[in-house]
Parts: sequence; C-alpha cells; structure tokens
Amino acid sequence: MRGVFGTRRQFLTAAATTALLAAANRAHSAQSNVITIWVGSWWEPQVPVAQQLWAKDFPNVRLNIQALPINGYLDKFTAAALGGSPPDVVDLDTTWVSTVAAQGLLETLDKLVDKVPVADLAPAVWKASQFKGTQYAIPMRSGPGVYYYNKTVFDKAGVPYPKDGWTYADLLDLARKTTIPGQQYGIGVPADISDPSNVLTLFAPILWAKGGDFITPDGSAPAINTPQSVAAITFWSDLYLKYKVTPEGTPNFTTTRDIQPLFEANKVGLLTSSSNAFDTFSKNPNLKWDMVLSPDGVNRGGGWTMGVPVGASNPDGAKEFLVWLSQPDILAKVLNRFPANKKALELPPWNNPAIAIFKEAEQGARSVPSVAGWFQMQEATIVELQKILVGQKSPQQAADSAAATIARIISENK
Amino acid sequence: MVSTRRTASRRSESISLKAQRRRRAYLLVAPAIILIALMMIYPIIQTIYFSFSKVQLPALRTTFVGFDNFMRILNNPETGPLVQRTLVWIAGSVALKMALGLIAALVFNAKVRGTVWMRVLVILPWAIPSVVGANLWRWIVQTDAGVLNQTLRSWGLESWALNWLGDPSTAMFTVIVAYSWGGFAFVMLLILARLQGLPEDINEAARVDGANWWQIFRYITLPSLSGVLAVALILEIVSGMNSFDTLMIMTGGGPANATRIWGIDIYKTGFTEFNLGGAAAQSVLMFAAVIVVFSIYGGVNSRIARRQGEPA
Repeated sequence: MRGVFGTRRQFLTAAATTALLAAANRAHSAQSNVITIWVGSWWEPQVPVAQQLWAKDFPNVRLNIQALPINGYLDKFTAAALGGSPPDVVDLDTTWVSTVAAQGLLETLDKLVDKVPVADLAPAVWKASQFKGTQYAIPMRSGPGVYYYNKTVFDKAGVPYPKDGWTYADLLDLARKTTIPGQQYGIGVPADISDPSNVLTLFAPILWAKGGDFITPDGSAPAINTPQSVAAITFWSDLYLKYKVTPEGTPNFTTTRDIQPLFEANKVGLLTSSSNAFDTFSKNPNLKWDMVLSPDGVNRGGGWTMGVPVGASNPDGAKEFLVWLSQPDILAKVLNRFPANKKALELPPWNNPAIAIFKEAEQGARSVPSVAGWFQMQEATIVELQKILVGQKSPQQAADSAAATIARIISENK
Repeated sequence: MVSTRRTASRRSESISLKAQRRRRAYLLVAPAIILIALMMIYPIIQTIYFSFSKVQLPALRTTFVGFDNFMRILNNPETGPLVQRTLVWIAGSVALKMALGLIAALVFNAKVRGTVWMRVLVILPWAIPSVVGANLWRWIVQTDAGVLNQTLRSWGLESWALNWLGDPSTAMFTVIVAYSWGGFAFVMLLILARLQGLPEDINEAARVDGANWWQIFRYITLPSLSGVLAVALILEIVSGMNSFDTLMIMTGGGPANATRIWGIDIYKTGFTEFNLGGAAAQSVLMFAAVIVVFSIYGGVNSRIARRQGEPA
C-alpha cells in the first residue's frame, strides 16, 4: 500500500532508523567519556591548562570546557536545562544559586561535602552555595569586595588616600573633597538594573554596616524598610542626589561598562569591586591606583561556585571533576581569578603580596540572602533604588514598596 | 473501441504518473514541513497551553489554571503603564524609521554622482549587529564621558548635555533614536527599490504641466509608494513589538522601569521570576496583537487592491 510518503514499509523503515539513531546518540552521550563544563568567558585562557592537568589524572575522560560570555549566561543555562540538554557542570555566580536551586534545576551535592576541603573554603561563598541547608554547589572562586582608589584623582584634589579602618563617614568626607564638578567625582556608584550583582557589591555593605538588611535573618519577612535600612538607603542615594559626589550618569551605570573606564580615565576616585578590577587595572601602566578594605569592615562576599544541573548526561563525571578541581594545588593552577580555598591562596601565583588584601577582605565578607525568589527580590530593590535616584520616590517610599514586593515573593515561595 | 480503450489507458497512466510525481514532491518537501511544524507550530501550541497552566520546573509539569495567568496580567497595576510604554516605543521607532527611510530613499534616488557610495554608507548601521550598535550608542550618549555630551559642552551648549539614559524623561527617546538608526536603512532600501522602478516620464509630464516638486511628490510619488510603505509599516510595527536587544543592552528596562516594554517584561517574567505560565500568557497576548496588526494590514491591502482593480 502506498501513502503520501511512499510505502508504509518505507515510512516504517525510515522511522525505525531515526529512532535507532536517536537511541544510539543517547546511549553514546550517557556512556560518553566527556564532561561538559560551562564557565564564564574569563576562563578562556585557562581552558587548556585545566584540560592538560585533568588529562594527566584522567586520560580516558575528556573535559569539554565551554567559556561563555557573561551576558545571557544564566538565561542560556536555564534554557538548556529546560530543554533537557544542560551541561554536566555549570559555574554559577553565588547570588544565582538559591533561585536556580529553588526551581529544582540543580542536583544536591551533600554527598560531596566529605570529599572537598570545606574547612579551607571561603565561608561566604560556601554559605551562598547552599539553599535551605542543602549543598547545591562547590565554591571555586571567591570575590570579596574591596575599594580601589585612584591616586591621581586624590592627588589632584590634595586629599590623603583612604586607610584601613575607615568608616562610611570617612568615605563621604573623602568623596566630597575629591569631587571637582564636571572634572572628577569622588565615587562611582553602580545602579543599573542589568548588573545587579555589582549594584549590591556597593549597596549591600552600606546596608549591613548601618544595621539594615534585605530580609529578616529567618527569611520570613522583609527588613529593607526598617529604620536602619532606610538610613542606609538614604546614605547611598545622597551620594548622588544630595552630595553629588558621583557622576551624572549614575542611575544607568554599571561597574565594568561605565565606572571602571571613568576610573581609568582619572574621573572617578573610588570604586568597589572584587579581584576582577585588579586584573584590569594591573594591565594599565598609566594608572596610579591602590586598594583598601571596605569601610566599617564589611563587604559583599561574591564568588563563583559549580553545580551539577538536573538532567546532566554525565553527573558522576561531573562530581568527580568538582572533587578534583577543589583540591588546592589544582585550583591554584587552574583558576585565573581569586580561588575560594585558603590553601590555594598560599600557592603561586596567589601568594603574591600585591593581592594579600583580598585574603584580609575574606574576614569581613558576607553573602546576600540565599532564599527562593532572590532574583525577584534584588530586582525589586534595585528598581526602587533607581526610583529614588530619578526623583520619583523618597527613600522611605521606595523601601516600603520594595518591602511589599519582597513580602509577596516570600509568601509565594512558602 | 480499441482506440477508446487505449486513450483511456493512456489517460489513466498519465494520471497515475502525475499522482506519483505529486507524492514524490510531497516526500521531498516533507522534511521542511516537519521542521516548520517542530520549530514553529509546536512552540506556539505549547506556549498557548502554558499560558493556561502553572508550569513547574525543571520537568515543566503543568497544572491547568484556566485564565488565572491572564487575570493576573489584567489586575496588575503595572500592566497599564507597560502597555503605554510599549505603544510609545512602537509609535516612536516606527515613525522615525519610516520618516528617515523615506527621506533617505528620496535623496538617494537622485541621479547624481556619489549616491551609490552614500547608499552603502547609510546601509552600514543596518549591517552592524544590534548588540554592537547598542553598545556603541551607549558609549556615545554616556552622560559624563560620552561623545555627544562632550561635543555639546565644547560648543558651549552645556544645557543641552543631558543625562540621556539616566533620566526617565529622556531614556525612551534616546533608545528610540539608537534603535531607529540601526533599522531605517531597511525601510530606505524597500522604498528605493520601488522608486527606481517608477517611470520618469510621468514626473516629466507633470513638470511640463507646471507641477512643483511637492505636487509631484504628493500626487504621483506618494501614491505609487503606498504598497511598499504599507509593507514597511507592517514589518516595522511587528519588529517594534518584538524588540528586545537594543533596550536590554542600553538600559535593561531602566531607569526606574522607564524603558521596560512588553518584550523585556516577558523575558523578566520567564527568566527572573521563572514564571513560565505568566510569560506564556504575556506572549500569547503579544501574539494576538501581532495577528490584529496583520489582519488590519490584510484588510487595508485588499481594499487597495480592489480599488486598483487587482484581485484581492
């Protein structure tokens, strides 16, 4: 019998062949000696290093490390996870873990805890790799925030450089003294919604130092509109609105796209960042700069941590890779950003005195809340912060609006 | 009798051959049809299905919730301003692209030396990837060190140097300009192609009859362009509805949601809130809006065709 697509036999043969090919492909993936790893683009030069070191220990298993641009990185992972084709290992910013884990997109890694050197890991990154007491990722990179200061800007204003042990009152004083309107500004404040992590790198330590927080310690209610939090928000927004010690474009500024270039152009005196900016500034021979610990001894402990997505085709290989990479000697050689392991920091190139400040900063590092719906909470907070900067709301009004949204998100995620 | 049978037999063979050819043709296009079904029809059906469901990750388990997702959108106080901003975005970018495209096409249709190279130059923004274009514009309009404000200040126009992307009152306008800059060349090309197909004798005759350039443009050129203008308009409206990358790169929807339009909201609902049902409901509404636009276009087009005596 012939149909539109030829004989039924032809059709069945074609269908069976397709099914067999698909099955064979799946079987190949399942038994594959490949571990696919997604990391940020800064890994690019380290990929061959990691592959060579791995090949010595595991010659029969290949590492397929894909260094992806940070823009759209998480979206790509989410889309791949939903489409059933996630990588075996995914490197995640610490602020992403709780939201992604709450959606069931990551495997639990509690069984790996005994196999990794927990005592040596940066506490803020370790804590941020958990959600509701369960381990969902293994930290590899730590990112405590420090303040970078531009010596040219300070020298031009005749102002002494900031010193460890300074306070936010000192910061405001220095920022005011170094600001020459239209020429240079005391501090760069990121406030763009497209770069939430860096907005929090500056804002969250102010919030914490003033006794405020985003939510209560038990995560049951918002705390962003307590008097202490509102005082912190007021301090933060006054830098732009009242004291005008930040550049005019602040409401739309990101650290890397706007503030760092202005810092390098000697137009901004202070900026907050992790060791990322260290790498950038070190390559600029014309820039005179140094670093100081954050005021009042508290900073946002960012970092990157590796998880195994649900639906990974080689989860066992993925876990083997995580245990392997977490060993200090391997981590020190493979990473080109500040490792999250203190023993790795004692090895070259991380024992360089020039970066010893980041080890000190670890002591005051604190992570943002690791709760379900954190993405929404931070977005709601930043949008309200922007509304203050553009004159639409007062700090109290913005804080109350953010608190109402956070309360709704908490109740929806119960 | 024998001859009749032979003729009937030949006719039957011919029909059979035609049927075979048709079957082979279907067989050859079958992969494309399957691909289209998989890539376009299935996602549309799934989106509609999701829009009536609560979708749980990671297995995409669905629970039917009826019109809940749609009701949430309608009851959300942010929906009104969101729709308003989206309409401003579409109207602004379409108007600017159409105006620039028409003016550029009329200028480059002039038979003077150098227009071919000028055309190539004008097309360049369209050829630049939107991500690059958006970052370029962000750099140009940066308040403190951007080329635009630096130039204005150097000319003594200090008060014209605005906080282009950091102020809600100028952010939307700035992004519309950047987006239109990258896209008006497409409209220009469409119009230019039509203009170059128009016979010059009619314009000559009109000039002989004493018509000035405005009368020629108003009564000869513009009516001749109505078809291509309608096509450009419809394509640009749909493109405006779907836009995402320029806005996302230049402002992320900020400041204070001033440039957050429907497309960005769908993205954030889906990927920030992981509310796939809500994002699907928003997408369905946008899809319905696109269908309405196409229906209006179809109706207008048929009317024009009937008026011109062409089959609708």
